[in-house]
Amino acid sequence: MWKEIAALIAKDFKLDFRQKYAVFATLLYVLSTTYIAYLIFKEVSDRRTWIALYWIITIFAAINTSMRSFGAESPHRFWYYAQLVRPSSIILSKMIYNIVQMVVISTFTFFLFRLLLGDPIADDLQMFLIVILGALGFSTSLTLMSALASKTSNNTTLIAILSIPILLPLAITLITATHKAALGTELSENIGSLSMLLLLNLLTGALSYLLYPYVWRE
Amino acid sequence: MLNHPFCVCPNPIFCVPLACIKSVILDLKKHWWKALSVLMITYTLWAGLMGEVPLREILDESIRNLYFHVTMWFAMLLMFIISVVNAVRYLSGSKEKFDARSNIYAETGLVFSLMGLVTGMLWAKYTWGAYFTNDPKLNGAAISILIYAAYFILRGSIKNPDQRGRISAVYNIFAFVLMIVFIQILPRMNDSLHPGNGGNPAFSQYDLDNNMRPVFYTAVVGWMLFGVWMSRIRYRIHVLKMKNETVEDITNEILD
Repeated sequence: MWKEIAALIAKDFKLDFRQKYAVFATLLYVLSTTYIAYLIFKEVSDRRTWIALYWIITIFAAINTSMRSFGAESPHRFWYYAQLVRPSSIILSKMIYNIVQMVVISTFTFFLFRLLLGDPIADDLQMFLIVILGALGFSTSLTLMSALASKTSNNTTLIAILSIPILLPLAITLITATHKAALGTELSENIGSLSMLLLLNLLTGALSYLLYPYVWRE
Repeated sequence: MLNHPFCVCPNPIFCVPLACIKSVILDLKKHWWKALSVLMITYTLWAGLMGEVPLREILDESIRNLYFHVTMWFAMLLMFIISVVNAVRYLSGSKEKFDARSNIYAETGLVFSLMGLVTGMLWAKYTWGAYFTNDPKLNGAAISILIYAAYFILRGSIKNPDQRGRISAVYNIFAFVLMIVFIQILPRMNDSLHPGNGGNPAFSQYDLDNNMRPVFYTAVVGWMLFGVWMSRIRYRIHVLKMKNETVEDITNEILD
């Protein structure tokens, strides 16, 4: 099974390496939206606004990226995969690939925000931990949503509608955790939100893994 | 001779009233809970508006909203639970009836959640001073409405009934679990103005010196039974519609 997953991830990497525009499109999306925020605010002195902007932009970038994980491949190719691999390896490989993408995108956004909008985060290491946990959460829940949306006729609108309510618990926990990190709270005091994030990620990951075989069937 | 349920007799002289009564009793055995739900709701409407309540600071008479607002959420939760159970059963057996039931119970649940939101907002206006505040409980209400609205849009955008059933059942299960996390676990981690959260007294403390509790539980059970009854009627309408449609669909398919 791990062999299958490794092969599928390698295939996704190769595909994205050949059509480089796909990854750069998301990075450019982040860059332009952050630049709009920069033009409007110049310098964000208010911590709350900075955090809100950061997570809004990251969430929309995450939705945009995850849309490609199932939407970009033709449905006929999935018939081909169905003969070769198990559905659980498909979902795991897509999730792992998405995690890598999300970590890259959210750290990129973080550094861009620090460059353009100022840096109100006191504890950078904690913030980085939150960013990674957030990326994990986005990919575990959005990958399945992308699979669901790809089965419908209008998947671009639908994925946003489907995933935003799903992401709300994650988003609220992320924002409380980020607030604490921004204020420079000790890691031991922030551990409640962080373990909540980890639990949410495990929950969404397990649900996606269990439910995907039903989406897969034609 | 005996034309149940109206007991129409062709000739009043030969009418058999005993058999009529028998059929009514049989009817009651099957449908008693529907009458019970109406009775219970009528009782709580009367007792809720006329009964004795403890008059507390700020809450005053608005404490009566317990009978009308909290019961909506209980009924909604039951509808969503039935919906998700049917979704699981659909995934394990792919029978069309489970998909239809899952959809219909979700619809009834959405109606209850909208009513719960409206009654809660009216109450919040008079006790908190605003219709909508940034409160974990209100966010929970908003997220459940958003999730189920998305569920219906998802259903609407898939044509193939088999695929629609599977995809929407998967979304239903996924969303239900996260909704439970959102409304049951997260509010306990944050402060809330809502009674029963963040150090605010819950209604259970007021129950001690009066008899609010029986009225409240009667209302909960009454609305739950009422919700199930309405969903079953809608399911039967759906079954009848499907029977009518199939002939038309087949002819349309041939004509296409």
